[in-house]
Amino acid sequence: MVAGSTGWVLAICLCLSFAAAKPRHSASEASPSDARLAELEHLASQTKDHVIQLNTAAFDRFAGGKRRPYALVIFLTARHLVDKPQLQLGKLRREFGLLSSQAAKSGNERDAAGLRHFFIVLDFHDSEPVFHRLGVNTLPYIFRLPSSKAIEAGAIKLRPDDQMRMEDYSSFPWSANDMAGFLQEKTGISVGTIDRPSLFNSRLFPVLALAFVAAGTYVAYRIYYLPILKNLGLWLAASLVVFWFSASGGMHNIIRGVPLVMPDMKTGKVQMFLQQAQGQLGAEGFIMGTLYTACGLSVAVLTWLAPNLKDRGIQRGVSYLALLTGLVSFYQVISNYRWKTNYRMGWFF
Amino acid sequence: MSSAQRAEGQLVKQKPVAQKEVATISNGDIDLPVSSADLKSSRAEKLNRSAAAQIINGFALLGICVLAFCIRLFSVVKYESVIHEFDPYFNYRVTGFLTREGFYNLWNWFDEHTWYPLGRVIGGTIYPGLMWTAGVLYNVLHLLNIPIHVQEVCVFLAPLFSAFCALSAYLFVKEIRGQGAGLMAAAFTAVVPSYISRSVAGSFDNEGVAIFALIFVFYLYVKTLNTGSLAWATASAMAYLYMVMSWGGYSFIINLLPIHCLACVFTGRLSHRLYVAYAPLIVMGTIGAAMIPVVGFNAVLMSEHFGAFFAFGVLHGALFIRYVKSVLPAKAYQAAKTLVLTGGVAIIGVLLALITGYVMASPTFGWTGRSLSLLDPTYASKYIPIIASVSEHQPPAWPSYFTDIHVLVLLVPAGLAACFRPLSDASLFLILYGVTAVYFSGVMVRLMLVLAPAACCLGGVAAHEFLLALTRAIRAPNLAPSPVTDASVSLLDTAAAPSPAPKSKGKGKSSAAKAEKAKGKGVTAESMFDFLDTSGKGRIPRDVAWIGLVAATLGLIFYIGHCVWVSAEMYSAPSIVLQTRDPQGGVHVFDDFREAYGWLRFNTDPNCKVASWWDYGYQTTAMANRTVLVDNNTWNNTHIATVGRAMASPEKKAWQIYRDLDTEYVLVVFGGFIGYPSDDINKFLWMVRIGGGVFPDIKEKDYLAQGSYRVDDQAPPALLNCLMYKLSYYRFAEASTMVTGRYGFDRVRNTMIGKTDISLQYFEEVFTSEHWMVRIYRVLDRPNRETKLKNPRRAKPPRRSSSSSRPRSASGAPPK
Repeated sequence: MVAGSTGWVLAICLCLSFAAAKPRHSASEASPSDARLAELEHLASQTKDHVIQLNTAAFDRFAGGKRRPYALVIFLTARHLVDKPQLQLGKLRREFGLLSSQAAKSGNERDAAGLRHFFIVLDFHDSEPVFHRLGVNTLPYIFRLPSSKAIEAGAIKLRPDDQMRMEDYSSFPWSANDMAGFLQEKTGISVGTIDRPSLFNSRLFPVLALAFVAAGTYVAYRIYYLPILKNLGLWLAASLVVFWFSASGGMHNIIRGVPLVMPDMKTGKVQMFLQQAQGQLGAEGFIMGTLYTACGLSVAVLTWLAPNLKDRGIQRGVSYLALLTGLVSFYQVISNYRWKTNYRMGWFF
Repeated sequence: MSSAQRAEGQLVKQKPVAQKEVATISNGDIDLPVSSADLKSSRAEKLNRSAAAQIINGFALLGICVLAFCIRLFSVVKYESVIHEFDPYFNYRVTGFLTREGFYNLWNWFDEHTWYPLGRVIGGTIYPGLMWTAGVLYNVLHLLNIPIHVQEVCVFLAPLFSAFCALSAYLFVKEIRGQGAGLMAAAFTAVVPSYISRSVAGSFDNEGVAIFALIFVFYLYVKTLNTGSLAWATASAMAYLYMVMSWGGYSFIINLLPIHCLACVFTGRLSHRLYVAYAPLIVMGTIGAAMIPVVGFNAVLMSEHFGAFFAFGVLHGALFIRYVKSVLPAKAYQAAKTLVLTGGVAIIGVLLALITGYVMASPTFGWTGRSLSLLDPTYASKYIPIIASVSEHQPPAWPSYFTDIHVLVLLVPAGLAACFRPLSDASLFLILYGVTAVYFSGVMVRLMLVLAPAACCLGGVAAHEFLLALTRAIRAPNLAPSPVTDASVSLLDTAAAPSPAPKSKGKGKSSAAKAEKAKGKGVTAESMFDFLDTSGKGRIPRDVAWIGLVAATLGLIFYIGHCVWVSAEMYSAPSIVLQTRDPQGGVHVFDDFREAYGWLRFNTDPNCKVASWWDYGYQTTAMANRTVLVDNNTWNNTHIATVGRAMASPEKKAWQIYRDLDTEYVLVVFGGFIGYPSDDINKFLWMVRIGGGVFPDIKEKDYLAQGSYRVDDQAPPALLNCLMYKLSYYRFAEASTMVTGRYGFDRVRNTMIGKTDISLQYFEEVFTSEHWMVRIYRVLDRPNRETKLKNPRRAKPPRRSSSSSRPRSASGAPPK
């Protein structure tokens, strides 16, 4: 009986010792990670949009190791390229910040496995070696570093699935919604609707709106009595601008987001006209809109301005100039139209 | 009568004007002894010339109408008398119902042949103007014992109304700038390509009558504005009702009129004529519009109409202020003004808050998607793929303007300038119409149709004034001042002139300019214009005038030539029948669509359901007389997305979707065999986008290879395995060798297709048209038996089945 009870006590003691030892053992392994986790949390809370900027050393510290008790969503940028309009790095960084703040706000920063995700920015100037290890040659570059990905010295090979690829998205620059979609697809984290800071959501909005209405009314009242508004020339100019913009296909340029000019792949020169019946380049449209308007205005000049000039010499000069402008614009319009569309009109005679 | 009208030369003087001038002479304004015999002969001469001018004018108009009608007959001459394209087939079907069942039954027609299983209340969801017009014409012709088929009435209705539209344009511009400009505008309107594109014989669409209605409403509005007559106001309200019946584009009118009204109020043009023109039209028009079921309470609930009510309120407020000003002493008026302004701002603030609250409650802020896409041009491309997918909703590039309105695009700036000299209520309206129309046309190529009449009117005014200036210079004696005409108004006369324009006597600076200067409202820096001869006597040099006249004449001839060519070559194809010409001049006709619809009509159960992309819904119901899942009405995005999803899904999943919808046949349009580019493969990405907009499991990127859409061996698996790909390319690889000599070569995409050994398990090919343009498949009741299934007669299961697991149809023979 005693032996039996001793055995039980021993077994319980053993169990207890194991039970006590196991957490201590894991704690001894995880403690640096926990410290890193706590530090990252601290760093995230220090920034306004919860995005942490790291340099090479910090990256090695927080991303290094076989496993981490957290995952990282990393945005690579370069200070000297922020101004490049085609990369839109500044806008992407802001959108990334929006995603990060929304994730923090919604409290959905953990995936199904309970892993917290941190949003990191690496700048080329601070972390050039990391860029080399990742093999990144082009920006923008956004990727997810899963907790299980072992990061050791040397090249870091990412799975293609863990990156945001240009071809997966129809529009560029990616919006915060696109990034949220990427995050949800890879991790299941749903941050909800991106809450963009807007004037409409501000508490001051009613006051601002009232002030705007009052100020607007006052300004409108003042403008209404401005003598210059009685000058119809101004209104004619305004209507001509609307015509010029629309006939240039200005709306087409906005909706399609076409560039003003394009480099020619073959010759390397700047290409202003697109030789295809559909579509146009921005500059092309505006040149043609200007030709349309110039031709119309030369008719107007011949009809109203030139006849009323007092000086006969000037009158003749202006008349010929208007005539020449009109004929040249007309010829240019027709030849460009034929070149562009390849239409050859038939007379059926 | 405007001053420009008087300046048209003696040829087109109207009778009342002639009398007026004679009276002026007899009143002794001119210090010449006028004997009664001279007076009589002068009067007789003027009357003769006036009568001759009227007769010439009448014949010119008749010629213009004949031209407008005939230029639209190319489609009948080159093809046949057939209804065109897609929407006209629905309109034709409804007109057929109307003539059979009567006008009242149309209101209650519930059509179970479309949108299966939902159906569609036709009477409550159409703009009935077109069908009613055709129905009335049909009944009248039959009353006159002309036994014409309803299809012929439908085919020739649009050309007929184009002639009416040219007449309306004449009347409209005549009200603004006189007969000469009116004739030019009518001639331009008769042949303008943009309008021809929607009104050729066979194009039985709403726009065919609606553009006429649009211009007619504008004419009546301007007529009321010039006369202040309540009778004309009533007529304009009736015309507006007809416009609302005819086309959703009526919202253009209901927004343009308030803009004009507000512009008049705020530029000091407030008059009783404006009130009579505007207020009854809004009240009667809105009540009338609400009676059309498809509009109903939208006439007062949608934001598109709010502008009209706002201007209505402002007009009354402005008139009230004028009244108060007339009855109060100046001091009291100032006090009242301050009080009212303060109170007014407060009330407007509250109203704005209420309206904003109401509008913000709606996801589209109370605007319909189509209207919103006009205000924010990028809206449709971002949020409404069903609108963005339609080719006529794309924004036009610059060549579209030259194709569609040709030299008018060069004349519009001059026309705008002309309307400012002098500015009247009516010409202000034309300016606003032109500017708004040109803006909207920039957003959607379809709205070029609204711009075209505006461009014709502006171009008519410009061409008229230009030709007048040239001919006047040619006729004038060299370097000697010619007789003064009132048309040349000084540049200083830029301030608002009341309408009808005031007389300017032509003695030195115009009286209007003097009056404006006295008020201090005109251009203050008079010295700036010292170089100008403001007497209006100036002429351009004669040699310049001759060159200009020759150039203008050639330009106008070029315009007519272009219009005839465009009408014949570009806009007359019915798209239901296609033609190609071989080098020897022979014509090859592709009649696959009618062949396929005919097959459906005569070989399938009358109650069967046919699935196809929505483009072909109207044609299927009208020509095959079979029930369809979706059609061109596009009222239910979810239903269209379901069809898109089925087309984008693998065969089994698509089969399940179609079985759930009781579909028995699936129709696809395929152009790879013959090189017809408007086929379903080219439209496929829109199916994916529209499907993906509702069903998140459809993702566009799954169907793209490296961001590009391709059907060759680089195509992603989702595309190669989707139903649309399989149904389009089933048995195609072998067949393509017949036309191209290359195995699996697609002539539209110019590539070898990525998957050639396509087998079908859930669908069965039942019909393929002569040129493979239409292919029809039957949805099987149960899937084809798979060969790898266990054969119950065999004792042992087969050891290897992978190589023989394909159904027999993979060999290329069509399944029986």
